[in-house]
Amino acid sequence: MSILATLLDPTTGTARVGGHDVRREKRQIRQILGYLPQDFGLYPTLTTFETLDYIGLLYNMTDAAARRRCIEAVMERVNLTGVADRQVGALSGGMRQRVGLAQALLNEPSLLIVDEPTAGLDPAERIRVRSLLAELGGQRVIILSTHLIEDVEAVADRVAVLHRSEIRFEGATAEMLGSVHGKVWEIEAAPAELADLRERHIETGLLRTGDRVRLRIVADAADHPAARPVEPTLEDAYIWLMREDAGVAA
Amino acid sequence: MSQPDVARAWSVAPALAWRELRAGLRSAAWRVLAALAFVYGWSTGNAPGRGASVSAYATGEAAWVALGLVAILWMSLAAVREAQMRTEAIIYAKPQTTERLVLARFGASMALALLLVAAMFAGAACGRLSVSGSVAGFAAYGGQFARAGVAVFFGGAASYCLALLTASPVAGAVVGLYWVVMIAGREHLAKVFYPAYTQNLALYVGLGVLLVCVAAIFHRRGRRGAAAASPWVRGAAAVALTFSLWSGWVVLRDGHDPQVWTHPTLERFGMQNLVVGRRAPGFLLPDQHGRPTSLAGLGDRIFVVALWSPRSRESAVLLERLSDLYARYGERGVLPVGICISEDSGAGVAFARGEGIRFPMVTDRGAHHAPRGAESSPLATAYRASSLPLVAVTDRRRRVRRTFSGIEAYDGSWLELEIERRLRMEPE
Repeated sequence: MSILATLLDPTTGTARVGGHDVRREKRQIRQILGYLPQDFGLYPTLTTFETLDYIGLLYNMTDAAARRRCIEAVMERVNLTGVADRQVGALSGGMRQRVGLAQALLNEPSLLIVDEPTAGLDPAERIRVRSLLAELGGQRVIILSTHLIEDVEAVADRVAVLHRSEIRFEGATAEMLGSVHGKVWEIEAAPAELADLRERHIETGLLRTGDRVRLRIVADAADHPAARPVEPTLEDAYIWLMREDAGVAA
Repeated sequence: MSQPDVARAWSVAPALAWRELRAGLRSAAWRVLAALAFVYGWSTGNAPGRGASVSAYATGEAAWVALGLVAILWMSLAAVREAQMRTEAIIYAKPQTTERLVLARFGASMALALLLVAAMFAGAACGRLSVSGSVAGFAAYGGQFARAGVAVFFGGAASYCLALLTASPVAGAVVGLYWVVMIAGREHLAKVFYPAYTQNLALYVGLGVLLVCVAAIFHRRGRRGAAAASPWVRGAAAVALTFSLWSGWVVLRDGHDPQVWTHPTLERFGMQNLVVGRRAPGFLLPDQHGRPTSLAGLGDRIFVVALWSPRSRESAVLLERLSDLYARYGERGVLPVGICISEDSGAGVAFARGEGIRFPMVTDRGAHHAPRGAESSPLATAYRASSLPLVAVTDRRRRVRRTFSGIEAYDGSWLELEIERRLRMEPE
């Protein structure tokens, strides 16, 4: 992420963004890039508007009237208009995250890199940010890095799964879902059976229903009489991809 | 890029600096420091003198010493603020040039440091006003603000540069250490090491600008990719380097300092000796208007030669007395001549202007460490000034008839009695 955002130079190999080399043509890349890092700070004593105004200057938006129009449009888009005059230090985590997103959108980037944008947010705020990303995705390339599969499901149409610097999967989300088609099962069983089932299968979820449990597994075949096939999710596909690391026989 | 585009692009740096300045002014830390500086200024501003020169000088000294250290710490922290506030990833992923980011941050942080100096001078002016009830000579605060401001600028620029290039505020402590050594070692260090002395101001402004340009050129060089540093900044660095070298050479050429080099003309002043009944030790030094002045060139008058130091508050009282004497006896051929014994070549001029002095006030460029009197300069040695202030009264042939030192020089009526006696013996 940092290499694509021109913050780090690659130690080996090359990378190009929009045809520009990340080592040599950093400025050209930054012109078309919007970047929201996972861990970021903002100047706490500046208001939301002032923060975006400052960022606008970093994008070389020298025309004050045009910059103001741009900021107002972005604030409207990420629903920050109501807190335009509030100091950033006094905003909630979710609102700060939206300010982060707004600063990344200020230059109408053709490439948006967002790193764990919903981490630490409450459910309502997470849904809001996710929806916004889904909406933005139609107009530009978004590279979303996340550990939350729901984010990917909501936003992405292409996925790459990275594990220990290696790409485990790359392709369309439908393709990734297809990799576990017919392999996801739900088994309603007694709690006493749980240990044995977990021993033999890869678990992707568990739901308690009264005095019984409903276990979701991913496996080539399920030998339990109560097992019934269900629609896979990306989370199931992800767990299936990582099965070697789960240390359980499929 | 066309010329208007270049101008527009460079207008971004002041615009960024202005926004950072506004953010800094809202911070609690800065407001507390400004309040403390105001109170400190108030306490130093209460000084004697008809004008505000003593108050202004004392405030200038306190400002560059204390706020210099504050500025060093402030600028060190400002240099690494992005890392501390985790704003680096957002800021440096933007297309703005590193040079403008560095200059904007420096400009805003330095403006905040200088506003602290201004707060201290405002406190001093208010303190002085509350005591004297008059704004006479308040222009003196402006001159001393500039002097202290340059020292604060240099200290801040050096610490900012070091902290930025090493990515550690601890590096700023090196400049803080220099500051402490400088304050403690006034008797031992050469004058050229002191950024707050008037004769050194140009040198340290140049060095400060040079350091900021170096920081802008070398900070995060890899961030530019294949692009080179801005030719404007490289050009400014070259100009600042040339200017600093030239200023340093001028300081050494015109100065007199036993720690570095002794000026032959000024050194010769020390070969004379004050003996009552013989001619007063001669000199040729610039007065408050820059004119070379000597006793021989001032005609056959009764001279009241007064050696004084701007660091001694009694000297201010003496200067008032000399002004009164000049008003009272000037038309009868009595002429006070002030000799400012100070390491700072601008102090004499500042006091002469601030106190509205109309008699000649020369600056002894040979002074190394003013409070030490006789040891501070060849001329003070010639006048046997073991302590300041010292007054020598001559007859109309420039022969010393009596000397007064310490309290006799600025208090009591001994001086007037001696002048009256001389006027009776040598009427005009």
